[in-house]
Amino acid sequence: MKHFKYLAAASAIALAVPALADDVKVGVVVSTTSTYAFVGEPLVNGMKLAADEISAADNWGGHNVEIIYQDNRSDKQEAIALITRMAQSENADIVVGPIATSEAMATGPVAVDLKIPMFTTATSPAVLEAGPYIFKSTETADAYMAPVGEHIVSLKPSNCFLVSIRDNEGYIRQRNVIRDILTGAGVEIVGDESILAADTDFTALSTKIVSNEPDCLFVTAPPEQAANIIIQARQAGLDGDTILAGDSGAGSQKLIDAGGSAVDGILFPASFVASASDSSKAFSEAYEAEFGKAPDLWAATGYTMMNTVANAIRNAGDDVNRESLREAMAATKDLPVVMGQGMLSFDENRIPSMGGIVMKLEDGKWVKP
Amino acid sequence: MLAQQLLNGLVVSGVYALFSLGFTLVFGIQRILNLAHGAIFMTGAMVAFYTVKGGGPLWLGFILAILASGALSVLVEIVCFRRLRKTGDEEFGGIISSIGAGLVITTIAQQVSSTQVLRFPFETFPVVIFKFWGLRVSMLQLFMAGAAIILVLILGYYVYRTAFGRRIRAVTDNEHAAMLMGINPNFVYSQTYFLAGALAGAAGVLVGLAFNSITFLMGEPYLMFAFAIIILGGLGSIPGALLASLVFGMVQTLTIAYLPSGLTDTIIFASLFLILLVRPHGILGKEDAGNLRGRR
Repeated sequence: MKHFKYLAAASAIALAVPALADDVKVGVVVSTTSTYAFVGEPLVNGMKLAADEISAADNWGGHNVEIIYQDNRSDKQEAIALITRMAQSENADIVVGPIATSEAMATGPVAVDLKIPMFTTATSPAVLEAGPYIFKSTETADAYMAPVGEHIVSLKPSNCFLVSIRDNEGYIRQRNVIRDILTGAGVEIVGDESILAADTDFTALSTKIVSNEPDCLFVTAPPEQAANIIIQARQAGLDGDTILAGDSGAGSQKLIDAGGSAVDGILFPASFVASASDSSKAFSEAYEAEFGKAPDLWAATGYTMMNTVANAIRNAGDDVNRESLREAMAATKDLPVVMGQGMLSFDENRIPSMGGIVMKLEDGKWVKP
Repeated sequence: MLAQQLLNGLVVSGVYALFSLGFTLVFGIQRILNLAHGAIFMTGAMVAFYTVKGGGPLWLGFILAILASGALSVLVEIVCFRRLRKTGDEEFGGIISSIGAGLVITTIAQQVSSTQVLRFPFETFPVVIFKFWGLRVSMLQLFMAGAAIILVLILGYYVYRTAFGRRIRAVTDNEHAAMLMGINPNFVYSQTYFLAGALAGAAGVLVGLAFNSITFLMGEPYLMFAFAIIILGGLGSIPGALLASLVFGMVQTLTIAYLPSGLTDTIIFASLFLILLVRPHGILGKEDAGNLRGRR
């Protein structure tokens, strides 16, 4: 019996060890392949760079942090399966991802049900309505698209043609913000067309765009598709002086690779400018040294997200669990970051604010217009 | 704008025709819906892309794409349909096994392409725009229309003017009687699948060039349209598929041009139902199309 007691005590200790140890697990569920790979690949690079730096500086608040990366291949169903796995099999304390609004809308209720904080890059604030466990890294479309709309207005076009993706709510919202600002300023909308994310043939649409002779063309679509629309519109005879504008995806290297000189001059909202501050410069140099290319918006977002999670882990107290992490995430305030104006805070609705900037693509380089 | 849009519609129709002709050819002769056809189309685009990427000229890529897609199509026939045909259960069984073949091919393409959207390097096909009567036509559009017309003419000549065409038509009419006449149906089927695959491969290269986008799933939307086209044209009818491709390309282009986008597919399929109300067997379809029993 005595032996049994020792055995029971030993077993209890053995069983309790994983709970007592300062092991924190971060599950990353983002698409590094398929439609949203243009976001996921640099996003994961940014996260890895941040995690390496935090580990090197021993800055996890004394906790052992393990990060598990998984690819949901731009598929909602896979995102749900992976988040469930992170919560139930891997015992993760927080999930970073998924990428798109459509994915986050599908996975949000699952994360809330499993009571695990989910930190997504989705643009639509509707994803936050699933519950208090959902956080997003991007400012709302109203916040980051507005400077682009106002910049277009300042260029005094008399009319504008809009193209957006209709099977993704995030793109529709971005289109709505631009349309409202333009119509509010008296700019006539001569075309408001929508396409599907899988479309590739824009010849008929291009002819329609060109025949309307717009002063400005706004396209909100994944970068390769946006580039394709602009290339086909140029081939259909789009005036070289037409003001081009896009969404944050237009700040991706993929737009330059896919669009070449056709997309030159496009305006887009930037939450990240490498030369904006000392910290963003240092990040850019470290990123380039590690991955051999300059960081884009999403690399900076990944870096910022991992730093935000690390900050929450540090502030969650000795017992880091899903609940304490959720509270620490929600309490994030004035965290120095490499994006926007340099400080990240969540408001009471868990919407981040960092301050946006309008950028322009000029001769293959991102510059302030 | 109307003339320009009609011209755009004509080019799109050409691509649809190349894609759906192979589809309808296989259906016409075997009464099998080859649902791997979209994957074969994609293979054409991929082969041409990797040829050009590897430093080869576009014409070589085009030829290799046609050969590879044709060969792949023959392989699909041998692996998926030949055994099933002997059981007499190829109608339903063939649909399932061709879905499987399509999945295998797209999965391989997904791995090879790392799921990325691929594109031919800029200037692979020179961007030259011709302007006349207020219209703009790119050299690529002319090439697409020209390639579609030439390939369709070759197919027409092959099927209606050669001994091989007679054999195809003999097997289509009655496989058993054709065998008694000394025709080897397996050989005829292989040739038919090669032709169908080659046309799809050519369409794949043209689409990849024209729309600057090659992905492992690029065949899916075309497969759906091809379905509608061969139903509209009359199952198994080559002239019907040509006519239906033209109708489809035009309706699609004009809908985008003059109506709010988002309605395109609704209008295309609504017009399909309307036409089928008047002509239940398609524009040029025959009553017995789709009826396999009794032909053996």
